[in-house]
Amino acid sequence: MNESWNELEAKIAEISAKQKQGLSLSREEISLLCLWHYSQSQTRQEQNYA
Amino acid sequence: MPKTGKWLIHMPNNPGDVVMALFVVDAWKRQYPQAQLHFLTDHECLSLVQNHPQIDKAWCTPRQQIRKAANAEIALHILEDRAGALALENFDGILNLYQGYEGALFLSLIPTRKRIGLCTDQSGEAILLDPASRALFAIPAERSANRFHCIDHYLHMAGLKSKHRPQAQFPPSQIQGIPGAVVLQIGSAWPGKKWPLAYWRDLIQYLLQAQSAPIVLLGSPNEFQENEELAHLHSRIHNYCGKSQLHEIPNLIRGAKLFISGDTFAMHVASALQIPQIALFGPSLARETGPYSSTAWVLSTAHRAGENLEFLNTKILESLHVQDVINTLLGLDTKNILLQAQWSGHHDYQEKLTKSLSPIPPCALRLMHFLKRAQQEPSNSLIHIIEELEKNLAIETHSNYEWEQYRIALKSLNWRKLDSYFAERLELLKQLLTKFDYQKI
Repeated sequence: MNESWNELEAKIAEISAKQKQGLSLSREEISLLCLWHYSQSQTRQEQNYA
Repeated sequence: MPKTGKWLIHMPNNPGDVVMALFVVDAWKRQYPQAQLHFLTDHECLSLVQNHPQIDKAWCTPRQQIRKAANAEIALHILEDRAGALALENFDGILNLYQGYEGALFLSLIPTRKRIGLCTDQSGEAILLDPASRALFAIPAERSANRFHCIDHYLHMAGLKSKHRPQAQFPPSQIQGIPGAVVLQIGSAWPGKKWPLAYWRDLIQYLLQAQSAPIVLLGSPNEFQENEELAHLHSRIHNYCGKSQLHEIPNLIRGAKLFISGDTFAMHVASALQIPQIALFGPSLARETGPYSSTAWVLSTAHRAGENLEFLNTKILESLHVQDVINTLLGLDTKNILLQAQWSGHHDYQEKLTKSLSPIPPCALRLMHFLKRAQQEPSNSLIHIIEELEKNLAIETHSNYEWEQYRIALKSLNWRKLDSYFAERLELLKQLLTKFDYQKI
């Protein structure tokens, strides 16, 4: 993971903290959260269970 | 609910699930031919919906491109670009049949007037707005109580009630199968869904002696070698493993006189094409994801109520013997078969579904509210106690705790986000949480 992904991970930690407080997220924050989960997700094919 | 406008259906993976979603497309177009249906799926399944006769436009999720992106900035640009293009379509509604959190987040970036299925609220938390979606999410957690096929849940979510059993159509392809062949899918994505290779060998020997039709073997490229060993048994056996794309598989099955497999993508294709078939079920439940067909026989190992799904148990299908399959072919009584079901697949399930949908237990709602609004992360000691409780419950219900963890992780739903959950577990959780002022919630 390069530096930009590390920076994203840090931002996600901040966003998660807001979520836990029940605060509304901006569209940009939703996009970043979505990006993070897409980057972390593995399809079954990728897990060699295709 | 108007079904005549422009709708986006979301089912990114896996191929078998996309085929089940195609039954919804068929029912929708038959009931509302003027509706415009777009379909959003992952790259690996895209060929199943591109050039599809009932789908007006196929879209690819940005998942693969994001995962290949050189850096996060480029990945974000890809994400926004795809969401922006979809937003321009001005959809009347979005039907999300997928249970993954990332999909719900992505769809929340696309403005629309109506959302069905997993959504997100203003804080980006996963929510389920409609009872049919909640029932779907209860699969497989509440599988012991579920009596409905997954496709019936999908149809109910979409508000579709066709008097005729929906089928599924597929994009055209040039590849041709062998008419009248016996088609077998030997392998499976999951170890627990694989019937032992030695059993397949014995069954093929029987089929070679009992009938004269050619035998076609299907499978993925990485299953080629073990299928090749079977193909060497006789010149009438043709190994098609890895020789076709996903969207070409229907043509290889179309016209077959018999199809035999485990719980696989090709099994759903065969059921869509109404091919006579035998499906071998072990870790998954046929009443939920079995062949949606009136020409299928399901041979299944036993499931006790509350038992979890052992997808990684390589021994589970060993109790289904070759003779059981042969007896089924011959229409004889079977020994050692713990369940033999002929799947009707008719829509009588939907009426029952309406009556059986139960509201989320109040204690679950209170628990969710408590966890969601907690000003800080629940303490480690609380999480530890809950985890221990889950383990004990898993033992008591003979369930597989690892599978539950896997399911939750795969669906990106952690325990804080599950609002459809074991009622019994919630009751025990409630008792546990009394220590944490639960009653004051």
